[in-house]
Amino acid sequence: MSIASDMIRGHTETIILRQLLGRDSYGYEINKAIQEATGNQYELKEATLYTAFRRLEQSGCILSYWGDETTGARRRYYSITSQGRARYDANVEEWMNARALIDRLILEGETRND
Amino acid sequence: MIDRIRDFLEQAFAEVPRTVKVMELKEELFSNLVDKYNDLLRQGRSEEEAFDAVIAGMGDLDELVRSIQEPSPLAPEPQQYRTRRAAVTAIAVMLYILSPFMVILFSELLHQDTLGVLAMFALVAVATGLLIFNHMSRPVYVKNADTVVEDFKEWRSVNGRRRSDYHSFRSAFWCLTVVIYLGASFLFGIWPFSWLIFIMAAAVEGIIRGILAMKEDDR
Repeated sequence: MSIASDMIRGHTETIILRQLLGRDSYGYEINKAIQEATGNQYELKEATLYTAFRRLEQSGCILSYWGDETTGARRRYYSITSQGRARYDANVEEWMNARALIDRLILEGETRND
Repeated sequence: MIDRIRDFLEQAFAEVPRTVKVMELKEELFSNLVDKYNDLLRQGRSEEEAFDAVIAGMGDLDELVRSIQEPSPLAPEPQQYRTRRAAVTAIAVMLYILSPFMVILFSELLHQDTLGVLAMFALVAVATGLLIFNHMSRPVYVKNADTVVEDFKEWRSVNGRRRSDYHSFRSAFWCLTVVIYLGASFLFGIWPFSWLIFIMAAAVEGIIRGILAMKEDDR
């Protein structure tokens, strides 16, 4: 599990961009979606999540705006920009390449040794 | 319990400067942590358990705080500029002190009273010019962070600079006017009407002030 969470953490930004592709969202909703998608096995630390938001915002991949909640504290919503979509596509392609390489190194190497 | 979440955040951010960005981050974190807390309660956790889970899930907040704190943009002025500015100021002051000697020098040695006065005002004009140049090349105050205090400091710095720029311009302007008045009067012997130059100078100054005010409005 710790190897998995380290690897997932390395893709925090791509995961956030993926969550925002469909619609605008806010911190807890995104984290909740990640939690549900992994069957409660993985949840981002708030520090990791919001640091990634700031980084994505600074590089122009996402925009933020405040919601108009009438009760309780205001929520800050994020929406993806066209630059963010481009970044997502590039990251997906990079991940496919990396996965193919790692598969070849780990799985095919194993069968040859048998 | 929700107050305890707020207290926790207040404590976590106690040492951090209260900039707009930090306040917004705190508000964002608070609303999301409360969402999480309420969600955990709905899932059947006790208040205590939910609070502990919220706090435990936060991770290292230092990293987050660092990510919103930019390095200070107020770079110290390089030593060489400071030395140069000091030298220019010293030369200007020296010229001011030397300027009356011109009158004595010219009238005693060359018996040229007019030229002596002219030389004196020329030196004054050069010295004032140097001081103005020095003032304009001084670095502007750069905002340190998005706080109201910093906004005020920037405003005061810009305003103060503008005022003293204008002040030094005025003194140079009137020095020059006197030089032209004396020069023209002595050289061409037009004493009866040369005083008109002062009225003209006042008009020119008024026009310049008007143009500056218009530029100000545009900004």
